[in-house]
Amino acid sequence: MNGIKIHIVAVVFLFLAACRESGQVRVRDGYPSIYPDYLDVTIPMNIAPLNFMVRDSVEQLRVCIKGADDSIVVVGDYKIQIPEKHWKALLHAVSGGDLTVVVTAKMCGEWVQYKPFNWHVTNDKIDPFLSYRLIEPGYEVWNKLQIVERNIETFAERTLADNNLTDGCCMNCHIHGNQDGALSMFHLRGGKGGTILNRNGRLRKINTKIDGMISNAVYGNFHPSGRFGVFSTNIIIPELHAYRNKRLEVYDTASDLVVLDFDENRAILQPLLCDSTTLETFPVFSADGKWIYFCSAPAVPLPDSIKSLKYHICRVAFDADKKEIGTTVDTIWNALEMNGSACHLKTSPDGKFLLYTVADYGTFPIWHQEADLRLMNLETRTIDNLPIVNGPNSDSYHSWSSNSRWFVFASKRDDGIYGKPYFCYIDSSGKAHKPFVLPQRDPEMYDFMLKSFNIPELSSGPAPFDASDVERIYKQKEAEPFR
Amino acid sequence: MKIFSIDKMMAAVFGLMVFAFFAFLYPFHLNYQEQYQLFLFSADYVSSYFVKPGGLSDYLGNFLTQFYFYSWVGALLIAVLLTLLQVMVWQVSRKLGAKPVFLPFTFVPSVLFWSLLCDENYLLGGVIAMLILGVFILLCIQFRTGWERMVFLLISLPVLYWLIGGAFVLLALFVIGYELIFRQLKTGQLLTLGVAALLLVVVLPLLAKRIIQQYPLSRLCIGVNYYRFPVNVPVAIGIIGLLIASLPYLLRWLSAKLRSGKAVFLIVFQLAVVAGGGLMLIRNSADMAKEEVMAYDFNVRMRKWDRVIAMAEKKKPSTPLSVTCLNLALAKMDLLGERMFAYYQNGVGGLIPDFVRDYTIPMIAGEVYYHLGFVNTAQRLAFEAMEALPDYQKSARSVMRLAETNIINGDYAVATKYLHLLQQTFYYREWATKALQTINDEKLIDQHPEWGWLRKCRTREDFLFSEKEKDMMLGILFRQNPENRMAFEYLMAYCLLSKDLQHFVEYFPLGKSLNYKAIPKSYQEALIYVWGLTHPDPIQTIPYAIGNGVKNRVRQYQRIYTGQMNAEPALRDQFADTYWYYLHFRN
Repeated sequence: MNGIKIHIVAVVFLFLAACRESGQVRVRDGYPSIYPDYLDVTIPMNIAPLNFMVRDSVEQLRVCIKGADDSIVVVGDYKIQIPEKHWKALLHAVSGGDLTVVVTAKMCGEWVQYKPFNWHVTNDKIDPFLSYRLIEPGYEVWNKLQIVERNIETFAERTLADNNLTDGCCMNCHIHGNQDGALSMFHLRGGKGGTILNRNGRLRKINTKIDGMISNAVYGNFHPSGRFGVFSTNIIIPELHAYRNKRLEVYDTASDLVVLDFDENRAILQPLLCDSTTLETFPVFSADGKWIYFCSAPAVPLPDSIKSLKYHICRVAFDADKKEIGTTVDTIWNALEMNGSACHLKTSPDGKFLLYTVADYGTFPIWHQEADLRLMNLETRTIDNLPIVNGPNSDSYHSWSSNSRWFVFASKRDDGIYGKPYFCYIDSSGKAHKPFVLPQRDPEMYDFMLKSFNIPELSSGPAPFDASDVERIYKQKEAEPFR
Repeated sequence: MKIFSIDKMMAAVFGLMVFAFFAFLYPFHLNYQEQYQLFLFSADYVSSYFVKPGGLSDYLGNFLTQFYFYSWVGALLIAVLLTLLQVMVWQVSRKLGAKPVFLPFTFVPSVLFWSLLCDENYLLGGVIAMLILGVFILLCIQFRTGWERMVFLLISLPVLYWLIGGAFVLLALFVIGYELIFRQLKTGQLLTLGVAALLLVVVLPLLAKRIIQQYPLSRLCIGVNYYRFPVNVPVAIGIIGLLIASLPYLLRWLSAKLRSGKAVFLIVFQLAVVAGGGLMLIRNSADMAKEEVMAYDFNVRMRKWDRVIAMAEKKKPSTPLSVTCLNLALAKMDLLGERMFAYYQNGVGGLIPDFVRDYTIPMIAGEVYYHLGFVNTAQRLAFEAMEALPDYQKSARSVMRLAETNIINGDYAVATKYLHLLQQTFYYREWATKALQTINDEKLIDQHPEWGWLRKCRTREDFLFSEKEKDMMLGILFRQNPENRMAFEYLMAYCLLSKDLQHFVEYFPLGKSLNYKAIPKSYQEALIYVWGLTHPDPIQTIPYAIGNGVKNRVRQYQRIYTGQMNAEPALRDQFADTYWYYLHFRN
């Protein structure tokens, strides 16, 4: 079973007494060193079992997960696999309350019980589908790329796109509009490539490169109506740091914004946002579709002045009826005052928050250790630095759940290189809770996996296509031109 | 049963020849292949192969390829496999009625495979697939009735498809051929079963495509990774496969036509064709120039610097990559400045090759960067080389280097990840376990003869690495650690090779911190040349400590260079080992 050496000796539903050890057990004052770190996390009631392993040298494990009335006992060697069916029943029974996890381990022939910890189960569900790109976290050369959709209520996974089927071309990350499975897109590069647009299950391949634009569409976001998409166009340059564990610096020597009308195959441009003296990138629509939020920085000589390249957060009005972009740009977060550079903007579906990443400089935070998430309340403009959420390495590329109570983000906190999807709960008061990593059937999987999870994106339903559909449209259809 | 029958002796001789070829003439091709996979003993790794048709053949092929780490073991394995293939073809042929006189022809598929395996991109999984096919063919002909055979075929086809991929079609062809010849089934029965087999042959890949979406249909039709570049259709393998399935029938037919008294002639004729043709084929297939580069690279990888230099002494390297390896070895032995022009130099490309998106050049260039102290660049090239592998394998050599560079950089979490992977291998387990013991122990790493030194050599300030300005990068590296002799010598070598004497003279004083006992020979040659450009009597006036030998030779060189119209041949004879000759005559 996926290499898991787990022995589920007994799985029983019992009352609280079930977790009481019968033999000689020494109680230890300290938490077990479990991986993934699921100590005292808040979880949605529709999440898959939080299987974990213990990093201490243990010979045997006995884990008791106690709810209000029921409990599950799972036994393993150094990792456990919680039975899905019983897990779901337990979550439903305890919904809104806490699960207590008691880990007892046999070490050097002696049974030791660690300090128990809790899993807070909230009624606020998370969108059950998560798509991400699996890629080796490399430099310039890519190998096998896949866009995968995972059902996070279970461990089921399916491939939405695979570059094996598309002549090995590069494919960028898959994003949804309105967290709707039936509205999404991603870019396929290469000769037969184009932007693959999924609207209500109908796949289209569009050519987003229009005369006068500096590149194809790069970073993008859907208008709430699904009719428009706002994109940046970027000339992207990668450079290699020579110092210690610094890795890549990727910057734009030019970047502009464009809105694409998917109904009329037309580009909507605003000269103000296509200015060579200013770099604009990471555009998103507000929840009501009336604003475009984006990052903007004055152009500086690159790469020499890379450390002074700092992006503000700005916004400009958008009129969907008139198909016009406004002419006044507001700065809502000043990079110089905040001494940072903003990127990856995401507005919450309820319109209340703007979630973004701040790095010391530049526009590619995934290799910036200091890159952290920030949460801006768009009504009060107050900013939460999310200390409980951010890790010691880069935290970026986030996506909201449709109820605005959860977001997922890619974090390199474990080793600085391999990004993994973490889920964070925002309660009704706007307070963020400790995040937890996407559970896997085999909790040790992350240790041996050589792929990064890129741009995790939540959706309320599954995407209505698969890798074969993408192969077909890639090979058989010409990209629709835009004008 | 005879122990020393002629067929067994011929097979043994063939096996010995194959072994001798790969063990003594072509060993570094095997080492080269081994480094481009990371065979893990884990359940996940096994299951990753079995999700697609032909997975078993690939798995077994890669399982055996890991033993190429020691080339003689690899040679032995290839010899055994190719001999087994011949034995199987012979067994099938005999069962079908071939006469012993046609034994030599049964070596043809194995000889063809031998020639293919001279190409480092042909993978062992192909041989395994043909052997599995052979086993099924042997099983097929054990059945007494046509019905049994056809039922066996219909049951075997799905199984065989999963084991060897598209080559399963050869079993169907063989069995249908068998029934057509031996006529144990009525025409209607044969037609019905033939159509059923044909349907399976068509339907199985289509069905696989429905289930396994991530592979294109063409890949599912071929199945096995016969060639490192999966986009290539392995036509040569197809021909060998067809030969394996049809040769027994051909030999049966020839046996039936054979007239008495022709046996000796036939044997001689076949031996001449198989041995002569095989020799020609293998001579054409074997790429000894590549073998030389692979030998240099292997010795660099194993840090056998003296062997690299010994190779160059025996035969001067002429390819850019072998020159790169030699220069690295010279630098590691503190001989670069002294002896680099004693060998052929092909410019700065032979010092540090430019990055290209493949899996060979970055590996060698990465060695240079690593030993210089450009730890991040070495890490990048190890990663890029692995990513460039067209068959999506991981590289044991790259993963080792990634572990090393991350240890040096203090990124212990990610280093641990790579080391845990290496612990699941056969040959790298011990190394990984030892390396894991150093993790988090700064003292141990600082004391490590290589990692500790490279830690000291690393840059102390950040800058963006520019491959186009290698001299500038080398200068920064050396300036940040003036004990890094290799960085200085590469900087000097870069200036000399690019014929940038202005910067050579400018940078030369930086080497004071290295306390050379004497100025290296090539530097002396460059200095006296430069001094001579602006001073009428350089030998008397030069302020550097130039040896009398160099002074005498420059006089002789100058006399020939200025005294003869076409001085190059004369200078080549006497002065090909000098910087002056490189400066004037090497492009």
